[in-house]
Amino acid sequence: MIDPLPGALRQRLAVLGAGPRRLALLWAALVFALAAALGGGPGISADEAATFSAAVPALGGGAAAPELAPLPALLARLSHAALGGLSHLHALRLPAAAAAALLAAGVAFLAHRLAGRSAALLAPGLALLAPRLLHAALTAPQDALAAALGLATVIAYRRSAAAPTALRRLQAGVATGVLFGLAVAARLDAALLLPALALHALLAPALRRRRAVNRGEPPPPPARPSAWGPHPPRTEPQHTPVEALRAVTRPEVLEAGLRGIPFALAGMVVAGPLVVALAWPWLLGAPLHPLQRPLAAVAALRGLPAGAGLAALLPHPRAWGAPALETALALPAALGLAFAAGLVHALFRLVRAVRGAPGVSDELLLLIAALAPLASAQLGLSPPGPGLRPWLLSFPFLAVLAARATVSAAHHAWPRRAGALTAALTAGLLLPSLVAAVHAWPHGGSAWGELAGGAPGAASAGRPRQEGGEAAVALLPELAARARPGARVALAGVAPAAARLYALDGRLRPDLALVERPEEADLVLAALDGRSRDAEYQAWSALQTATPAAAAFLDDVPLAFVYARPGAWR
Amino acid sequence: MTSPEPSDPPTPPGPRALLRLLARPLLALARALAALAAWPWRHRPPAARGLACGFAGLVLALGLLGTLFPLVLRSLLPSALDWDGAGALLARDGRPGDVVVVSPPWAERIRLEAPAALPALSQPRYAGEALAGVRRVWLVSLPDAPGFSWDPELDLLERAARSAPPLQLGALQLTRYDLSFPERPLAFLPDRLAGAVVTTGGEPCPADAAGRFRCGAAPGQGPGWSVWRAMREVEGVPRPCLVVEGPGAGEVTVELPDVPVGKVLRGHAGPLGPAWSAGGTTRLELLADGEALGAAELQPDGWRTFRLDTSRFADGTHRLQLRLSPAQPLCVEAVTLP
Repeated sequence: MIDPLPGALRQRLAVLGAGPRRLALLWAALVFALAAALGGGPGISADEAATFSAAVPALGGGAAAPELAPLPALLARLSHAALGGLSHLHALRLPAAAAAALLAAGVAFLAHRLAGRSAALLAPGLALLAPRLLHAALTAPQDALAAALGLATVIAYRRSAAAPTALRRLQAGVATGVLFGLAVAARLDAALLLPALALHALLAPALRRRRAVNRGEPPPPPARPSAWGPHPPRTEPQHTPVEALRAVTRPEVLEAGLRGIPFALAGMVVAGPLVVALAWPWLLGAPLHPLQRPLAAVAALRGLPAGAGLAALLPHPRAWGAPALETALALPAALGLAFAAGLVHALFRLVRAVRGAPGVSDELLLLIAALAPLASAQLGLSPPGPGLRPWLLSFPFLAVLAARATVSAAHHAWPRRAGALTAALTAGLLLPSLVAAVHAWPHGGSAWGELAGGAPGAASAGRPRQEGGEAAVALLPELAARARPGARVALAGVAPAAARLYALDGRLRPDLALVERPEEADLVLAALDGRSRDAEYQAWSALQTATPAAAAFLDDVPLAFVYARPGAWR
Repeated sequence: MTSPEPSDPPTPPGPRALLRLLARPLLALARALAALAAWPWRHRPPAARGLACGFAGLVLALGLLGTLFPLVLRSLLPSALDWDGAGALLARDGRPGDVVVVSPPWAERIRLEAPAALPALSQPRYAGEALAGVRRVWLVSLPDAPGFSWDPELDLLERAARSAPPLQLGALQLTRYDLSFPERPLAFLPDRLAGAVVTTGGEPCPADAAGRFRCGAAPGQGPGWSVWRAMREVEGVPRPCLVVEGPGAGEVTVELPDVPVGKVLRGHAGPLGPAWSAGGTTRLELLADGEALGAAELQPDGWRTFRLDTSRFADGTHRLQLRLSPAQPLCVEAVTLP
């Protein structure tokens, strides 16, 4: 394990303790405090508004959409009910802060296990500091929660595979299943973890056999009886039903009965759906057509019509390389390089492991976990959300691999001063993200990296300017200061639930009435998110002006305009 | 005793001799350069260290670039003073018939600075764009901005002349183009809707307080026709037009009285909202004082142009009728040209 920390830093960290758990907890506390404090800054996108609508009936929007994954709305509802002293937005976003904290802890823990304290200090920053990733962590509860639970699922899967006794493997397997179920209840396409981990379970033994051949060793015996092997040992006949039940449910017997299928996979297949059914009973509400509601949920996730049926499962591939290109353009260039280097480094280590080095199973697991969400997005199986969110589940693993590659590079490039070089590389990786996040705040969802030319270059290329109307929040203070008393306000490109939440929190002046159509309004606040601007142009006709009264910009790229009828703007 | 014959002057060495003379030093120089070039390769680090050094160097370089990027970007974009200056200049020198064109199209900040009387256009291209009633174009461009393209300027140069060199206002450039053949329309039909009569099936449709004509539907036939003047988005571009929405079958007639007519009537039509369904062509007929001017079958894709010869009715005002049967909401505009 590489741990080239400078001496002074090592002394300071000794106060905190050397264990990965303690460092993970510290990261969790720091990220939660920051996310909770910053949570009220960014605006509310359409996706987030849908979650809040399901959590708080007062926001309107009709009946909650049952085909949306329920866990984020459930947590938001609990948090909102329990924390009445906070603003509505802060209270509703606390679960996202908790998910970000869990994610940071998981990333730090895994990075520490792989590459020591230096990597544990670096990896959470790589996963959360870039403006787009920070924005998703603060405002996209389903994505941050699914990413955190997905990471926990993979860690539990690995624990189950490496546990020394059958009982421990069973316990970790059940935990894997429960975490998997929770991840699916947070975001339906987290179900891709099952085929991804099944692929690992299929490939890892083959690669281990290959490794043994390369080392000239006899092939390793099967860890557990294979599906084609001899039958499991018969148990002795028991005298009471309880004894008989205990005999057949012993972990060793259960494991033998699975015939080579890992406990973790079995847990995901058995416990996962149970957890999903408990959290999402609506899925099971059509007994005559058991697939009808799950397919409707998949269709809703992928933005397809409700009656799409089995067509909802068909892939709709994106342009080749689109997820990778979008990632490279949306993030600071140094971060994109680190992620790419992490993948290459992991691939190199896998090849080396197959040739004889240790760790073939772990390297394969990390690669599959990092690449599976990207592959799912490439095939169009993930939700068609804006920016990096469709493959956000990749980033915890990409961050861990990038941190490991960085620490390894420092060790190889300058072994005698590896600590100082690691610190310099950490600064080189995190400073651009920090500077970009501060520069773009609170419009992190509108930020683009150097390769895209920032927000101006991305706008010139026709890329979306924001995720779903959230940038309009920047004009609310000016609206409050300059709108005529009693003016009627229409919000174009902003979710109605978001507008009502702004009003509940007092960010929209109480005397300003919300109306739906520009023809009825004195003021129109129009968000520019790269989609249709028809509502804005209709406002030009209705208000008899195409000259904005106020605007919100990021690097001179307009994100939102306010139009005012004559006399409605002071 | 005879005097010695004067000797011939020494002949300069020929090319071969020169080559022989220079060969050794040249060879020695080449060997020295090759040794110098081979030295780094002979003393190269192990592959792993080389890759690690390269990665570390790249990270540090990109990290520096990324940290400084917001500052660099700010230096490429106009300052608040530049925008104010452009707005002041347009307020001072703008005249009726002028429009402002922004390049890149996202640079709509000029709309806050320019006078309200100067419309600002922010399309990516202007080839084939009508620009009716426009005499001069003020191109406000940000040539140093990332992603800048010369396309709008090239499109304008095809139909306009630059009367003066571009004016540099910090990172902004202001260029005035005078259209070579400006169109001076006699009438813009959507602007005449206020005095129009809208009928469907012979029945007149009343107008509400906002000037929208609504035709009542027959029982069991869903919503009736609506006709109004609005700015709507067609293919990503704002278009002032007559909006015609109907039940998808039947016909509506818009009668515009006292319209000055010239030799040509040119118009455009395009769908509103999602693309038209297959086979949903729209028939548009135009009549002047009850006589057929012409008709157009508009295909269900994009902003389509139609052009009718009205020279029989030139030099006078006439009652124009537009008869439409759109399959889905339609945006129509037309101008009469001399």
